[in-house]
Amino acid sequence: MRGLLKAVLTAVLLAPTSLWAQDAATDSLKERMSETADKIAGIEERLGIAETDIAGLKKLKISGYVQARYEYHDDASSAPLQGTVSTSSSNQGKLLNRFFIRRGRVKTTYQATPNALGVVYFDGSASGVSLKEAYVAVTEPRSKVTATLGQFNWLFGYEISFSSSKREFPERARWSRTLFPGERDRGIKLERPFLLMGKYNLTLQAGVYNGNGIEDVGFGVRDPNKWKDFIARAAFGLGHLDFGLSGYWGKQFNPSDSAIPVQRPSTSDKIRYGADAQFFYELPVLGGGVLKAEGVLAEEPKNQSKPFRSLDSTRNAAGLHAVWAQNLKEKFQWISRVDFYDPDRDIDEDHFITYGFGLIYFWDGASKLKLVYELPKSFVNSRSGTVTVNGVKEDEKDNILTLEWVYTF
Amino acid sequence: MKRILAPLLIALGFSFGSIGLGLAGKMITMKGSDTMVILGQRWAEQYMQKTPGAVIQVTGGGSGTGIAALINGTTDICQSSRPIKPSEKNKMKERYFTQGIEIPVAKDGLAVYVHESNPVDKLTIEQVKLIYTGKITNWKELGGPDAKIILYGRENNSGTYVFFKDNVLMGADFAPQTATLPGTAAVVNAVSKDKNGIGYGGAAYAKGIKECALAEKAGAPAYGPTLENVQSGKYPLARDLYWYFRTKPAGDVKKLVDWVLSPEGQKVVSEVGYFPVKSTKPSADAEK
Repeated sequence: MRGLLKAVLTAVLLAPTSLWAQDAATDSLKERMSETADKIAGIEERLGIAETDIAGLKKLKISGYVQARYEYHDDASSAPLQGTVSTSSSNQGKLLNRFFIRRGRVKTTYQATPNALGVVYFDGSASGVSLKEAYVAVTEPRSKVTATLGQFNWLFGYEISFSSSKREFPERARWSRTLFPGERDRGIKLERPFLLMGKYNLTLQAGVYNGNGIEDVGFGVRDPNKWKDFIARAAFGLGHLDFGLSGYWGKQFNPSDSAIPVQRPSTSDKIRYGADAQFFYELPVLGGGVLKAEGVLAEEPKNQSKPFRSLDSTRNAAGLHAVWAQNLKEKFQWISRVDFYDPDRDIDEDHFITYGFGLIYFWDGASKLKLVYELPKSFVNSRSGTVTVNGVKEDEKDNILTLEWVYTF
Repeated sequence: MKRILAPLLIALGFSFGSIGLGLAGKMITMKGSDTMVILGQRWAEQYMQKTPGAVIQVTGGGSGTGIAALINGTTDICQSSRPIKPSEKNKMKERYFTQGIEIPVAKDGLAVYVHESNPVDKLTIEQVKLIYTGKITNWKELGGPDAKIILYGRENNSGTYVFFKDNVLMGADFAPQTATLPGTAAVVNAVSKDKNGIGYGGAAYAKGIKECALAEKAGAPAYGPTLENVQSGKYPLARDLYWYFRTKPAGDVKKLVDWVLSPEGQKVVSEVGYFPVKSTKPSADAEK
């Protein structure tokens, strides 16, 4: 009985203590939960701010590429035909081989809304830093018409707007380098894509440009002539076969030229018609390959640096290049090209042909190494302006080996 | 010239050869759609169990990320919950001279989720569009409680985001108040905890929430994302789930594709909660 009494008394005395302890533990737990909830709310708030900031940053894209190059020229007396190094006589005899940065490009794109973007694109190379592109592009969502205003690629042909970071050969074909120096101009263009029969693509483009391009001496401040040049292009994508037709209609002041003894009209027409095609195929084991060809027929103003025989103010030029590229499984690619340019079709034996071949190794998704050998055959001495009229001029020792590392980011 | 050309070619040949050998491996990598991550993992687990020596690595990141990885050469297979875009096809052509090989491996009904307690259980596509473009902002307008609609969606690198934008919003912009979340599981989780929430994503993830039946237009019958409705085409937001390749699958990758499209591989599709493709072999028009 005494034992039972003692146990009951102990239980009665301890009960409140136990309840107090439970209450205290519950209060402590509630307090900690409340603190944790506050912390989570704080983190969520900061996360919300961070997400807003990140969403803003995602609208800004920075991309670009570097082309670091080593060139070996066949003969020290032949100045390089490529690149930005001057081919003046003072440089000849010094340029047996060289390392240089052919292109170092940074492109910033800001797309605040899905239908409008702005682009500023700089190039750093041996000749300094220059503005390559700066434009605003706006798309009207219902009609899908995009208007681009500013400084950007000429919309003529396929290769001109094909990025140097993706092109197989280190330089564009001679005809596009000659007729479209710098590949860019200022103007406005409209384009609209169409889907034909549910699977074929057609893109129509038309643009109005100043006409002389970014390498013109007076380009930075004015349009060197009062006429605007008009370019139109239709590009078809059929899947394995893509092709396009381009037309260019413009005018240009005739350069002063003491070699022409008669008064010439003050302007000359500048008319170009182009066609391009790419055929894609896939071989078992080796992988994909492509055959590309692009040509132009042009009526061009004459100038002092080009040969001429007649007193006409224009000359008829023609250019054509064909590329065969074949993947050798996933890491290697074989490339070859024939590049033809005739600055004046009325003069016999006056043209350039360059054969080129090489190998590209894709190091990873960002970088590739190119080894390219090119053999120019010049049937005119373009540096002195002397024409070789009868027969083929002896092939100059001007072959070039190019080793180029392209890194894109 | 020959003096420098020959040693250079030899040196490059050796270095390329050794690098090529060093990179060679048997692992198959799959990257892309977050919607398809679980499906890809189940396929990988079962295939590796039945195929000694096979190693498959599966990661998400979104359909756009997967296609970019395919173009960059950092994945063998891209899982995508949307068709490849023309701009992506062009990039593929520029690098590999192919348009990419497309193989539908499963079907999905893109579900619209609401909280289990929400009385709204059917919507028209137009209503969903108005909700996500911010024109309808209160559940009361849809026969629900007088409460503000809370929008949950996906990030713009997601194939689900693109499919929803193209097929529901018809290209219009999402309302700015749409909370973007990093995966379908996150959307489901958010809606399951928010009685005023609405979200969208693959039917496979619809656990702990309610899937709305959808009608093409007002007055038309509404259908839920069931096998029958998705395969018959009655469900308005049915879509194919794809695998993409740079070139025609060969070797170990082709064996994996054949298995995935076999009845055994398609059974996994049903187990995960998606719907098998009707064909059990790569169709003649798989290469588009």
